[in-house]
Amino acid sequence: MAIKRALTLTILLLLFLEGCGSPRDKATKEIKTIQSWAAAARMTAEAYVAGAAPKPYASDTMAATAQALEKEMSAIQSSIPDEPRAHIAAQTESLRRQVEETKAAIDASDRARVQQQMGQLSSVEDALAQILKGYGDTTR
Amino acid sequence: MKKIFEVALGIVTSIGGFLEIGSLTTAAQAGALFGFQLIWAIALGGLCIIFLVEMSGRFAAVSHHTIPAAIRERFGFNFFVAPMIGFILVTLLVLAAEIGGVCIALELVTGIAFQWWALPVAFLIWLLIWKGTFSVIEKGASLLGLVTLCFVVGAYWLYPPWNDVATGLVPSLPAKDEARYWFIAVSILGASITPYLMFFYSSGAIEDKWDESYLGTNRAVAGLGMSFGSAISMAVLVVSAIVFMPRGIQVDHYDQVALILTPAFGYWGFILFAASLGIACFGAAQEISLEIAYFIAQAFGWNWGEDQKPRDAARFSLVYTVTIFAGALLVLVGIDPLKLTIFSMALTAATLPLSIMPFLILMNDKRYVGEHRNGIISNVVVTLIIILACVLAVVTIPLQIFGG
Repeated sequence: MAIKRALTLTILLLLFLEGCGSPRDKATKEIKTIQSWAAAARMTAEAYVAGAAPKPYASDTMAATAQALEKEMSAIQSSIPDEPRAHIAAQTESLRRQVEETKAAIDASDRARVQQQMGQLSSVEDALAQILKGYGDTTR
Repeated sequence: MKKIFEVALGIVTSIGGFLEIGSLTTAAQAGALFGFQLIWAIALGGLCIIFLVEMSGRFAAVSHHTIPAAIRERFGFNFFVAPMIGFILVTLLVLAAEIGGVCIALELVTGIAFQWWALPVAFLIWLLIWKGTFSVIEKGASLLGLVTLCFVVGAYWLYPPWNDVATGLVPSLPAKDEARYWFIAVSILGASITPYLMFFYSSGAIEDKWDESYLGTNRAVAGLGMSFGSAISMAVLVVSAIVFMPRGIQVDHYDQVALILTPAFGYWGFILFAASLGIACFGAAQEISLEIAYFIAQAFGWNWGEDQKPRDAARFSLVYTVTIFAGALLVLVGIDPLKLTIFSMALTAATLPLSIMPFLILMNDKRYVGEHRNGIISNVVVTLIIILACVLAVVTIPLQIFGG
């Protein structure tokens, strides 16, 4: 009985602490997730250009990434405080557009354009890394 | 000579059949998020499954009982109901995750959405079980599963910092994201210590008519097969840590994992990943479907046996038929296979005591195993790991669900 009560209390305490994560923590988490999608999109584009990933896969991955970024946009609206929200949302929207353009280039089998897009994706990644730095997080 | 061949085949099939969606996904996520820091969880899970698989083979060879039948006989049906329901529900989720894994592999190579593959894959699994023999099911997919050794080759080719890899064998606290760290540790333990694996192994020992002369074979297969199998999981973690972590890719989606082997093998890395995922999950899905049918048939005292004609074990055949299509239904409705996998592995860890503790009691009961009872070391090691996995799971699952 005592063990059960202690376990319940521990879970409630941990849930409380997790729920109380500072807005800064939440923003950091969101940015890292967006950064992860950006990095995955760039890796896929690189693999496609190098002939290491087939076209249907590369195209599907870009579509899935664009969709995930759309979901992230609503997460940003609900969980990030006013001050950094606009900046993060703008970068996310820019990333989503780049991903869609990369998908269009892949669908058109235009490897040169995909290569150009890789540079754009990399720029958005850098911009996100800068925002993260502002939060004191230098890990990628 | 025949014994040596049996041992070698047993080890090879254990290695080929070890990797499945749970161990692959949890190891890839662990490597991407925490580098080499969670290798200890794979080692701990591997140690526990070596003990458990050895025990289940020993139990079957000495007592000539299957584990579910013995639990029911020893503790009575009323006691048996709770572990049975828990085991079946969690294992059904794991089956759905495995079917999802095959579908994802097919999506990767064809570009056709994974949901469309759920029913054809379920039908193929069912057809092979319906028409095949135990030997074909057990050895066929496992031998093909040797393709998963590509992760070991990939890890070697990517020149990992071996000192850091070795440091990961010692448990350490994460610098950030503690809740996720422990949740992934639990999922790794759940993926490694899968009760279906030991139940399937013991049912196989009965199907293959093992007796006490097989105890040496059993020890070698359990020890070497599971050790090498765990090494493949570690290789997945190592490759993921080298490929994904420096790029900041967190592995939130299967599409992201698909490129794990391309830095090592180029285009063939993509094909090898899809083949490894598809074959490993297909083999596991067959074994899990059969195991649920074994478990229920043995619990109720029905006729069972993969080598029997379906009409001679009608209820047994009906159970795996229903189970396979129920698992496929979960994939068909579009549940995210990655999330399904991670949560089913954590739930497996949470319900481990339900399946394992009664078995441990049986392993200490002279009436079943006589002089081949457990020693103190195996009892203590398994009990401690199971309790640790369960407590961590009970604490971290709500954190992940409600804490986001």
